[in-house]
Amino acid sequence: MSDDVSGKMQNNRVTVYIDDVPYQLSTDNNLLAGVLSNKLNLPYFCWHPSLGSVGACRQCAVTQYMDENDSRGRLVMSCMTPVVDGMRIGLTDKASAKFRQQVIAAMMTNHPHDCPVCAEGGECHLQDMTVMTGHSARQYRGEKRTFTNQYLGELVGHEMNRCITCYRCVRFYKDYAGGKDFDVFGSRNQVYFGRQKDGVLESAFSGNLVEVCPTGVFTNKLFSAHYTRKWDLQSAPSVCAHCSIGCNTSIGERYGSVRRVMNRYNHELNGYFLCDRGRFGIGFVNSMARIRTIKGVNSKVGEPSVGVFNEKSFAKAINEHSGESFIGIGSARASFEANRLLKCLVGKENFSLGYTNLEMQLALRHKQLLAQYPQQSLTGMEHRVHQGSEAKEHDLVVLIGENIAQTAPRLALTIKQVLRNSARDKADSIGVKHWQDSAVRTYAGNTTTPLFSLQAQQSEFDQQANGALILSVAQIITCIDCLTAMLQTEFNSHVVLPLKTLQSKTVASVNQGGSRQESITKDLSDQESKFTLLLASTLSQAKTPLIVTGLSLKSPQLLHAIDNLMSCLSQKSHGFAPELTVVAPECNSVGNLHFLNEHNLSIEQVIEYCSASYHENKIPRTSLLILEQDLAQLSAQQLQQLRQHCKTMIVLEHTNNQLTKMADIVLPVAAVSESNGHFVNYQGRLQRFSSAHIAVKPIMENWVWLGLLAKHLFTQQELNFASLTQLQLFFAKHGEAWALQVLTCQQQNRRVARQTHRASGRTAMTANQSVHENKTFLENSNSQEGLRYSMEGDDANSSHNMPYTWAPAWNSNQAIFQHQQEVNGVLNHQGNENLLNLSLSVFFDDTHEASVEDKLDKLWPCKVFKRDGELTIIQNIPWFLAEQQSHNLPEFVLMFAGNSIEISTEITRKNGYCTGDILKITINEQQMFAKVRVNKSLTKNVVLVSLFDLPMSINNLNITAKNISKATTEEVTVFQQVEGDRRKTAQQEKADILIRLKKQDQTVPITFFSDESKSGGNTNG
Amino acid sequence: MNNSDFSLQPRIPSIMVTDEEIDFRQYLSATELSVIEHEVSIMETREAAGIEALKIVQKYRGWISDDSLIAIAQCLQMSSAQLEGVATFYNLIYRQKVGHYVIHLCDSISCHLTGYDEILKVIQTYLGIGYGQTTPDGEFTLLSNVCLGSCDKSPAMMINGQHYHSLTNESVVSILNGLSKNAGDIV
Repeated sequence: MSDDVSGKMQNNRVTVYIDDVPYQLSTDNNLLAGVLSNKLNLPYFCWHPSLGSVGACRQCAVTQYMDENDSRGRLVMSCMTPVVDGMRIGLTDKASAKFRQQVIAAMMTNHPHDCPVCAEGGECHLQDMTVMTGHSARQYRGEKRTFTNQYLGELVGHEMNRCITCYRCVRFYKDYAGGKDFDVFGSRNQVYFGRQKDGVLESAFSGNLVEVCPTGVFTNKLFSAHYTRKWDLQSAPSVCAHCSIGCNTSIGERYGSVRRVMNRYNHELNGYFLCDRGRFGIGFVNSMARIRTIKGVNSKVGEPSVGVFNEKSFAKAINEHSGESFIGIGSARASFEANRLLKCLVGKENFSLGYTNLEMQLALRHKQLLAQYPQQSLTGMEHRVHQGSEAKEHDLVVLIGENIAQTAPRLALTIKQVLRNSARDKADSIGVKHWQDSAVRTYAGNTTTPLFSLQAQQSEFDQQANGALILSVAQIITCIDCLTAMLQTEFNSHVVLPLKTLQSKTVASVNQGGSRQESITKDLSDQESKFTLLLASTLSQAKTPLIVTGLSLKSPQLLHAIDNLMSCLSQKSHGFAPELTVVAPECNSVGNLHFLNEHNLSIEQVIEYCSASYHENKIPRTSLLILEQDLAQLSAQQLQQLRQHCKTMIVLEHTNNQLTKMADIVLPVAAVSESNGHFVNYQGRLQRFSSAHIAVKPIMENWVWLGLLAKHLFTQQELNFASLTQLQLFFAKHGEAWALQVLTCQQQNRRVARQTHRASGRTAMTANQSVHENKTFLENSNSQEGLRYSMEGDDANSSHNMPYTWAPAWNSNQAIFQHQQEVNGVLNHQGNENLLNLSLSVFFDDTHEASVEDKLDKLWPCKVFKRDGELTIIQNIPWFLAEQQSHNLPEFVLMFAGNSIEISTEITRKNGYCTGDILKITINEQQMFAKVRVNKSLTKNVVLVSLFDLPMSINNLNITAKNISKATTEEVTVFQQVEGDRRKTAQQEKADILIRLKKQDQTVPITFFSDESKSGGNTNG
Repeated sequence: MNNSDFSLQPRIPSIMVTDEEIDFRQYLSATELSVIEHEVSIMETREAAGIEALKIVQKYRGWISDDSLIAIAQCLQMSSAQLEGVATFYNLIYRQKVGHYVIHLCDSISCHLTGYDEILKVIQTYLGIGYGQTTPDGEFTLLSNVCLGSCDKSPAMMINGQHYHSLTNESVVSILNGLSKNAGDIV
């Protein structure tokens, strides 16, 4: 892919003379992008590499000369100027330099100069540009305009007086991310950016305003509450753990607590933007529910205190369990390495991924899809459009059975840009360049790329879809099967039915093809067959359709149907390149597919196994070793059974959950910000995340705990590794490809500093404790890792995993262009592409299609109930709670509107419910209460629920009408109590966390003793 | 591929972020609705009729209240935030209640040079109100204006669409006097 890109780039390069020096600029982008691509400093505000140009701020003016004899030239705005071969421009000439200085001077007349109390200070693009233009003295003596700020919710702060009217915020929020509740008001010197009235920003991407705004109008409220300057942050390159997209993030830490997450540019993945679940969700690592001590070991001495871990006494205590036989349960949110190590410890026969039978079947179907249809680089392609070298432009999008706005918000942002492909094409047809953002939008109007949506619930995409149906999962599958059959007929007969014929004669048969189509659609309702016919004809005319689906509906049959559809589409001849994207449930779900084979135990099998040995011996014999897993999909009864029939339950976990409550031993595990490893994203990309700081003992990384257990419990000394690299080396020696891949990548790493150059006042970094030099601490234990907890080491930007973004004169994240090969291009130190090889396990290869299902059912039998009059529960929880870890962020809890249930008019009528009633819903023997909303467009058997306590892993669940009933008066009171308490508790926790963190800033000298057991001889001089 | 080639169902109007209590079909009069729909019919998109719709409703109601704004936004299937952006951009759309007569006094450079400030003082004294204020009887509202395009006949002002040129202290008073009388007649 990158070869294509550079190849095309070369062709479009022309010579441009900047201050009489020849440079090579690409004609695919505007002059400003070309100048910046050559790493020249040219100030700008309104232009954004991914948003394009509007020419609003006049900051990027340069002088353009007619020819070499022209000494006067004329001012042009470089962001609005196309690159032409042989053009001559001036960057340092007096006229344009003076102009740029005056533009800033004018902007600053209304800026409050409140940098000391501004959260943007030190990484402010406005500060940088002001200094860059040379406007260093304040001349304006008049009054400044003042605004009233708005409350925009728990996440984003608002300080309008700082605004310089660049319009970037509204262009991102409204134009790019499709938000409807944010706009620009007024005119002239009274231009206001915000909501129509105070209220929570509705978009899942509002956090990007913090980075998009060149100054401090929009700030990260969570960061501001426990603030530190960028230059005092210790940062590490990480990977978001809140969905399967695997956006690259930069986590900033100080005094042992995580302060914030910023976007880390990845050309192939997240580009410049994150979703709010990723940006703010990281707060879970500071939550009060974090486990900070060991439970169940050393109980004689009492709970071990924070900051201390005594390996000897731990060994002694844990050794009592060494005779037991263990089953290991891995997790899709633990790192790839930890899962691998766990499997190695307990043996492949005793390893479970923590999936139910159904989920095992689902996972196998998922693996089958990934192995056959490689997931192309889809996310992040939107900014590559501005590189003018995007090879593939999708001309049709089909969303099937996955509400991406809920399960993978960042992907939804990408799809929104994909839908603009035809708008760009339209503009291109009259010669308007793709980067002319405003012109393209004006000319293209409402033109969007065709979109079809076949979902189990409403989504924001329905509004702009050419066809949108909301159906039950069974109906969705029927529709896809019919679609496949139709396409198959069409491909076989080579008869392409003209679109018009199809539309006008939906049911009537025109020819043989038509009559066969008719027989295919007999299972469908009129509406469905109309939809399917339309989609079939559109699909057969498209060149590069994109099909997006996922696992959240928990239907192996759906994936099977998609598989059939894809294999049918793949038959079509050249020039047709269908693409499939499968959204996985969690950050390392695809990594777990690597471990998936016929030996894996499902959770039901684990329970059965434990019970069997229990009944045989009348005492529990089997023990469990559970890695970062909450088994939320189990019913209370199943959990109880598991607990009673297992001997010892050891849980490695970072946050309290139902399993940690019942476990015998709980070992506190480092969360993503404190640990190292790899996650495999939905595409199969093996991505390294590094610790921003070391956790306070006894919290340790999961692989460290597993190593200690290997040594003291399993007596497998060789599996106790001193570093993650050693772990990887061990598996590489055993010929495992993934380990070789990640090691090759790491070898290119030089040792990079996590701290900024400005931390050279090192004695000040820990001034709360001591002004003594805190030299190269903890280096021993991490000697083989690529990053150092210090300002000493290689430049942050010399690594492909940049801990933070910075360049001389560019202190904000805008500095990224200095590290890209060209604007919007790959990074200078782009790492290797590590794609996990997901070859299908042997047992699949020579199995015929028909018997796959049988085999699956034999291995992991799951009963599918089918009865009439049943209701299907579909998850409708908002995006910020659609992932378990983010439930621990009080801000997200405060954003939750309360439990609600949406039911169709039919059910409402039948049972006499009405909007506002409180219903009792029994799911997995657990009673939940929710407020009714009647949804007219809902199919009669579907119930949409948004329940705080219902985990995402329970979805598309069949219940009977008996499971839903009107709550009694007492229950209503309890419900209201619970709802109110949840908010109160969240408020309280928000305050408590802040108090705890601020206290910790003063008292925990984390850096001095946190790794004493490993570093040994490491002393401070 | 052209979108109009296939459309399975009419695009579902976007769910508004505005108060559900207002139903534009009831709020806007039949006349208002029909004139707005005429404007919509000659525009490429519904929201393009935003300015015209605001002018139409203002014509009948004198100004654009929050409720009017929400109703128009619903009618045009756009977010009320977007329509608010349009309404607040144009100085001839009034988002606050104004008097029967709205005086736009030009304070741009030509009028500045030819003594608009004297005229302003006269008006303020005569009506007893400042910029942005309305007389207690609800007759006059005084606003400033950036250039009415009458630089050759400055100082100038505009009242309810009618331009008044080459103003003097005396002529302003007689204009306002005349209007006051009229106003009384109408009321």
